[in-house]
Amino acid sequence: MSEQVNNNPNPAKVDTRKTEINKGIILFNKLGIWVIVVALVVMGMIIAMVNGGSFFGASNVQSILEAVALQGMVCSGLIYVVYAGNMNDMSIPLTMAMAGMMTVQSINLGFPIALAIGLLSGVCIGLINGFMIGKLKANPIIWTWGFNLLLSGIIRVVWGGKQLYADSVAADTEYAQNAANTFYSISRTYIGGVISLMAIVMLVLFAISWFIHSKTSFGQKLKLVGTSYEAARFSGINCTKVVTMSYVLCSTAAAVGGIFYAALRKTASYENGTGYDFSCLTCVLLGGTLLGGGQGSVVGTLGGVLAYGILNNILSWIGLGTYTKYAVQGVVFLAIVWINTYSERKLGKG
Amino acid sequence: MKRKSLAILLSAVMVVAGCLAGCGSSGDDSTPAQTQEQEQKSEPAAEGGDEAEAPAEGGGSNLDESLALFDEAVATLMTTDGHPMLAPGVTFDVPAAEGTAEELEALDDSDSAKWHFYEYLDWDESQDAEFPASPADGCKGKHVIMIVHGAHAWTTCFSEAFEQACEAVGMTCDIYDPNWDQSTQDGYIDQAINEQPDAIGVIPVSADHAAQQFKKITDAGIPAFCVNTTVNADAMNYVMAFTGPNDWYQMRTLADSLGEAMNGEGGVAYITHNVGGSPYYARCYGPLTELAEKYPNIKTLDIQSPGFEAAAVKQVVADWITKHGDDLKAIVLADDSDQAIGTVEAIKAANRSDILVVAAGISKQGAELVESGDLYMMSYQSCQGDAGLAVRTMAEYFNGVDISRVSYIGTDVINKDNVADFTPCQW
Amino acid sequence: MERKKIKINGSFLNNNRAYLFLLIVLFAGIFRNNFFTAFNINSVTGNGSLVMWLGLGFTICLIAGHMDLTVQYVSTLAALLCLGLHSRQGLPWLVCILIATCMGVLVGLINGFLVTKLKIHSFIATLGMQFVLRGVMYMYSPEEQSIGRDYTANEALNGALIPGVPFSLYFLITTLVIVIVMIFMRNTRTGRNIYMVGGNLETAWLAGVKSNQVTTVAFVLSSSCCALGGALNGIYSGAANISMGEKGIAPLMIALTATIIGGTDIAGGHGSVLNTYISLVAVAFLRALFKKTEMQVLVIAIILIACICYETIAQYRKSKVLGTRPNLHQEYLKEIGKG
Repeated sequence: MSEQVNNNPNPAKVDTRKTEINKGIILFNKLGIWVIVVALVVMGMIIAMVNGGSFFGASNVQSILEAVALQGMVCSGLIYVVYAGNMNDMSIPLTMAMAGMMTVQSINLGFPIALAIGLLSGVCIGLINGFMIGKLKANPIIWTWGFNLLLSGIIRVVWGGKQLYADSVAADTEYAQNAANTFYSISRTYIGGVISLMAIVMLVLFAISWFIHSKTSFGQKLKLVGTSYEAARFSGINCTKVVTMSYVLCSTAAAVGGIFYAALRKTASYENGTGYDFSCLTCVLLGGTLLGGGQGSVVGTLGGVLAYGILNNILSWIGLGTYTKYAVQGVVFLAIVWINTYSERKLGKG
Repeated sequence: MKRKSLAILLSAVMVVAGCLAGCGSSGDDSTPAQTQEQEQKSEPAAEGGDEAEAPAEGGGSNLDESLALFDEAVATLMTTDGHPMLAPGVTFDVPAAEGTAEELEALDDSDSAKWHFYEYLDWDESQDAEFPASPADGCKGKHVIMIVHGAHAWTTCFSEAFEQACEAVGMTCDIYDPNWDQSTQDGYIDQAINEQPDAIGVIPVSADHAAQQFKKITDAGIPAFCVNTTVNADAMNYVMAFTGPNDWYQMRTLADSLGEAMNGEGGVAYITHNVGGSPYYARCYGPLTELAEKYPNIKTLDIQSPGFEAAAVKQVVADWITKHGDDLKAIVLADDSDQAIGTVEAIKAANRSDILVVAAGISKQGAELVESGDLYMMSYQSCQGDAGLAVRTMAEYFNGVDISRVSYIGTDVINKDNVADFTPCQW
Repeated sequence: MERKKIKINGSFLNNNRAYLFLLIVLFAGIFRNNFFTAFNINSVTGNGSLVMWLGLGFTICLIAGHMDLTVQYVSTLAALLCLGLHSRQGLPWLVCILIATCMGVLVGLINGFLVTKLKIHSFIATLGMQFVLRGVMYMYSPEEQSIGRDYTANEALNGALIPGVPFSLYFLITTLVIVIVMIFMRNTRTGRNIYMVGGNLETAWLAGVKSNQVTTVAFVLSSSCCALGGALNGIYSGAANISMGEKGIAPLMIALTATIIGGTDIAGGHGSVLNTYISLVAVAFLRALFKKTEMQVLVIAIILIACICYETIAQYRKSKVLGTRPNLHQEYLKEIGKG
């Protein structure tokens, strides 16, 4: 086999090194997470059948979609940060909390303005992160982690560690109360009575994210920056702008997630969003994005988000407790990341 | 040298931070309270030097004033939902255990005998530590430190009620909030002992760990009061008095009504409190054993601990609905806010309004859900009453009244018909 | 041996900012009542000891150029294991501590294997291990473990070893181990190799350092220290809880903060275990300074952010000069007599 692949004209210098690449690896590299999604779906169907339920029942599909909706929203933005080679945005939890706090606090101004203020707080956090990391080249993990702690301190001190309820914050006018009720309803609306608004928002965010990533000049520049920062800089790309933009997109997406989270929980507090930093990174990495940047796709990330949701769903079908799930999730996560790294390395991309 | 100037800038920032720290701490409300306390302490001593009879008299006048304050507070102080805040506690006798702790541990989860030591504070009084005797000179002017478990809407309500009640009976108080962290709470306990207050109240973050925490306080010669969260029976050896809700009794009452509503048939699933805490056992195994005992046809389908995130709870419930289908007739929740919201969402999404949801209460969200009929029933657990009972017990201790080691706050089952009596909600 | 003259200038202050931090905190303590009592010093240093172990582990790994996110979970698992073995199997304390530490060694080996052999980035590998450890923890003991009614070991760790010195035995053990590790890092070949691998992996490899082995040693050292510290902390505080540090200020976060304040290079290769230790002592006192958890979080965060900003800006200026005209920069350095 290896001789056929190696058409070396000089037989004396036959390269005996193994150059053949396993077909499976190529296939896996191309399809990535969707193979796993399909495998998980099949597994889910079998397990559901054994348990005498239906995996594709409307309520089950709905529950999977809803369970991942918030994570999906955040992931649709986080992919840019990871893609640009900045590993992870550790300030996601407090960005979510801050967006929720700001929205609830300004609910008296009416729902659209409150929503805008919430999103704006996300944009501001993104800009600060972008300035520190894009312009001053701070270590992305350490900076965002530290900034997360700072935001947490600010929220705790300003609001005294309290939880904010939109209807208590809202003034006793019909306008403000309506705004509060609209705010609560956004996480409880079902389009056509079936698919929740959250799932739709997630899919729309992914569509926008896909469009930005593959159809705009920013997306093209991002690819270059992620692949090789120095090369991108020397080819005249404004790297600072691209990195800043990636953080702004990420924080905005996290803010959207945070607003929905606060609406779902009916309260905004500093602990909203705890754990989303790591769980969202898990989804993005499952989707085949490399931690080093420059590899991955938005569609793959959607696959990663779904895989995470389906895995959770299957584990609860099997009847594992909440905590035993952690161990299984950890092992599956490590295995998938390893397969990813391995296949990338074998293809010479990693 | 840019580097040098930056370093100077950095040290300047640090100095400012340090000064802030100094100012912040000296501006803290504990300092005036403490000086006041010291004045109080020095007062009787000075009088004692002048006249031989003075201490008793001084103590007596303070005691009289305290008693008057106390009576007035009991009569006037009301909770937000219109119940007396400083109501006396409920006490009852502990039934005998059906074996030793090890024997009971081997029993089935659904056997109520197994949970005897979880349900009742049944401790060996012969091993009690030596408690500091009551000064019996009145609660007025006493300084107490309350260490709560963590920031939550409930805690905010509790703290405010505690401060209000303390003020009403003439005590000063500090409230420390360890943000749900056990080691932080340990740190606060040390700091509280270091402040040498007249009493320390603790809501333990964890029931097992409480023994060490209370031992530390009692060893330091400060009366320790356990509030709200039931501790392990062993810990009671170091606790002056326990005040709080009777979760088990509350959940059993709730389960009785639930079993009746289910006509004694169908499956019940449970969502628990944080694993390991006393509410975890009370709010899951309380109703479980009660239903198993009185309604043997009711099955237990599943027990899950997804925490307090509405989204996570929603997923668990949605999975249950898919998995168990029509078998699932009722869900028992440990919390009526986030958990109830998640559950109700999932039930609405699946159009399964026949599933009865009951929860331990009472929060604002829960009351709303009961009003709208989404939540079938919930238990009444007064947050301000809890704080009130703690203050009442402490005040009685300072006033030299005999206090019972365990006292509970009153309870009730809230449904759509009587929910108006319990609103506006306390938190 | 010529001793270097100590000059008090900007860079001296910066290099010793951990000590400066400690001094400021102690100075601020003067304004607080009952701050310098023996009881307070004993309890503050004792309660702060757990994060000192975590900081030790985190710093070692950061020097080797890796991040170890598992530190917190290793220590919690070790505490559960240690107390669990004692109460369930009735083993003596020393054996329990030893087994818990062995568990730490095992986790370190797995971490090292994932990073060096499977070539998974340390941030991701330890993140995955975090989940695994959490699962294992819940499987081992869904409830919390306590030391039971026998307080001998607990009191021994809480009590002062030397009468009159207000430090608990636990804190003294912590200090001792940290000094030993510091000597190991500075004076042994393996220790120096850890610095070398962290500074530049390729160079180290070319110089004949078995980089995989050294990296694994760093992970094992980190995990076993955290496990030992966790086990001791379990006995010291009397109970171990699964959700330790999941709320409030995560111990991992404090360990990171102290590592940064202590001046450990984020990219690896530079740093001192001792500086991290000093800043952790300072953080412990700082937390006792503020009665409100919110203020603790804010002040710690401000100091962390100040340090990161300072490092970042200094680095930015340096790279700007170096990036545009490296030769000019060298001339400039020669001119001021530093080149």
